[in-house]
Amino acid sequence: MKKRIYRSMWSLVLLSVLTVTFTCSFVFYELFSVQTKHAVNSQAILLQKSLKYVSDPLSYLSTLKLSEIEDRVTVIATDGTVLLDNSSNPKLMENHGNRPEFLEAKKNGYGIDTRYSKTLREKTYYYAVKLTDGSILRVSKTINSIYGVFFSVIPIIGLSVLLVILFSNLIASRLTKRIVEPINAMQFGFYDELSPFAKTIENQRKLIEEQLSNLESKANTIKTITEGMKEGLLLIDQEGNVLSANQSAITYLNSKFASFEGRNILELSRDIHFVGGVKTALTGENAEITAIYQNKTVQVFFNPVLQVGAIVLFLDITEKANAEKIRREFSANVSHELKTPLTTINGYAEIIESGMAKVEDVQLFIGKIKSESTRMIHLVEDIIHLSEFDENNIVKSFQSFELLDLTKEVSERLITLAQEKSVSITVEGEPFEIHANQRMIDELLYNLIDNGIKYNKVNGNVTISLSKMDDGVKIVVSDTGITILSG
Amino acid sequence: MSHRYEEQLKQLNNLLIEMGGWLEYVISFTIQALVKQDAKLAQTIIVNAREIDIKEKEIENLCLKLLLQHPVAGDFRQVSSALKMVTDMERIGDQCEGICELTKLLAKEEYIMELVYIPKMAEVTTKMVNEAVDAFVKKDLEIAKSVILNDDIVDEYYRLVRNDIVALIQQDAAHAEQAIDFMQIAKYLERIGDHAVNIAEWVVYSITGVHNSEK
Repeated sequence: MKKRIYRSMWSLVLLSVLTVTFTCSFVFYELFSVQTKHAVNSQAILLQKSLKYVSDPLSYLSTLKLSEIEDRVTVIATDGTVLLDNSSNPKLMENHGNRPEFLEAKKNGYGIDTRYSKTLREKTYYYAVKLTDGSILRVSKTINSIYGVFFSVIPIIGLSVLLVILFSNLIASRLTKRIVEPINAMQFGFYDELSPFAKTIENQRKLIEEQLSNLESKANTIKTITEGMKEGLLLIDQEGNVLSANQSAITYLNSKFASFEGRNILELSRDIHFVGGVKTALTGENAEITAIYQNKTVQVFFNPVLQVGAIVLFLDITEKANAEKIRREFSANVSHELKTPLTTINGYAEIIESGMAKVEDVQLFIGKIKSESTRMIHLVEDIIHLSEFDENNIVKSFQSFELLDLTKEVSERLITLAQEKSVSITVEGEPFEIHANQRMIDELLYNLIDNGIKYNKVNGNVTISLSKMDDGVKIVVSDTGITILSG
Repeated sequence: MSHRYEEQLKQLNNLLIEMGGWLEYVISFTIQALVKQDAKLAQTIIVNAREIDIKEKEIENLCLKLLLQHPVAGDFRQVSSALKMVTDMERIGDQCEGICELTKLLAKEEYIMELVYIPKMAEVTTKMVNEAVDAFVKKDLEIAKSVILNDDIVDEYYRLVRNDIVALIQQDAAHAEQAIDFMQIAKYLERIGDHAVNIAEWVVYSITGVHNSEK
């Protein structure tokens, strides 16, 4: 900006100086040469007029001491011979018969010509008039040609240009300062010309601010979401530096660093499996590991993100892992439980098949096979019940029913067993309407009362009492038998 | 400083942490293999321990490249201590390999003694190695100093193991063969503790510029 102002200022100054010099030179030169011509003309005419009254013009002119005047006066005879000249010896001068002004004067009474010297720096103006005796009087003056004028003024122009440049430099620096200062200070109101520019900037600023706040709110939303996530989330760049990490991730990795951002992932976890996962993801492939963090089984996913790096996701699978463990143990137990009666059944069947069993024993063996298979059926029923639990469809079969009535009904069913064991059953409480799976409540009561009777003493008692609680009903089944040890 | 130089320094730091990760992995599984008499695991560790040697070479090369660029002050200390540290780290890897080789031999036999002090000793040395690497990662003087102090505990356990083994041999000469192996394992663990201390001392040097031996 400054440079441009300087440059344009200089060129302007230079141009104006040159233009003024040229035009002035031309105008003044024209004026000057016209005046010179007039002077020469009038001198010649004056001489011609006065010579009319002189009998011998040549000798008269000689007496005039023309050599003292600046202009050159020449008298040329009709044949072109120079008769007189006030600046050089006429005898040494060549014949002037072919000079244009001479020829013209001979013809018209006067003649004009302008001739340049060899160097073009000077030119000579000739004015010739015919005298009464036929000879020609010529007055001439040598003046600087226009080129000559230029050549002579070049040093002056140069000097003045130099001065002007120096001066304009000074002005330019001040001016530039004055122009640029308000722009630098962003005081656009200073220039009307800049107000649209300032307006555009202001609009842009508003737009940027708006977009920034938009982005910020978006980032905040994402941050809130990720911060609230139970899953750990880490975003890392190509070099493995952490771009962002949520609270869960920080908790899982349990690094004591105040801030994760900008740290290399290696500083947070150098576990070789974890590092391996990160490296795999950074080469553009998915990876997955299961690790223990803070006593939790955590599944860690490493996913590449194009042009960013990778995302590391921590998923707490403790419950799933535990459930899986329980399921494994359960199926192992079930297989074992099922195998025991089957082995017994198989054994008795083999004995019967081989014919080794006595006839009276066969009956006994078949009885054993029956009781074992009944046990198996019960087991299988239990498994079916358990799978019902798993499938979560118990809620679907919920219904409203009277709990006290159901309790009484169940104890009625068990009354025979109780009588066999000499145990009495008491049901206490008020009627309650509850919403539950009736079949399972039935089973629950049956099992509890059944156990209460079976593991009781003679003349013992089983008491079922229902009492209302704030959030439901309390069923207490107590018996006078041996206690169930906790644990 | 040139961008490349800065990158290389960062890479040095990362490589050392990575190597530390490998050390921790190797040492923790070495003890597991020993306690569970798992020859297969021991063999896996021996194979994986080669990664430590590879990392050592890699770090040494990088250190030399960095030294050629005339690092000064803190950078110089970082590079020179890294050069010393990798040697100790590599030695720890070797000691673990030694324990694994013995584990493979002992796996077929029934141990003459119940492993009481050796796992405890291993626990402390593992913690020391872990903390030594941690001290490096976090540039934490306090952690480094605690590693140096822990060495006394390891030495005390070594003494206890030695007493046990002497008693066993005196009890029955047939115990001698296994007893020597266990003695060797204890010695390996004791050496690991010493190397962890060395690493911690180099961490202290890289931070403060003063090595423990100068005090």
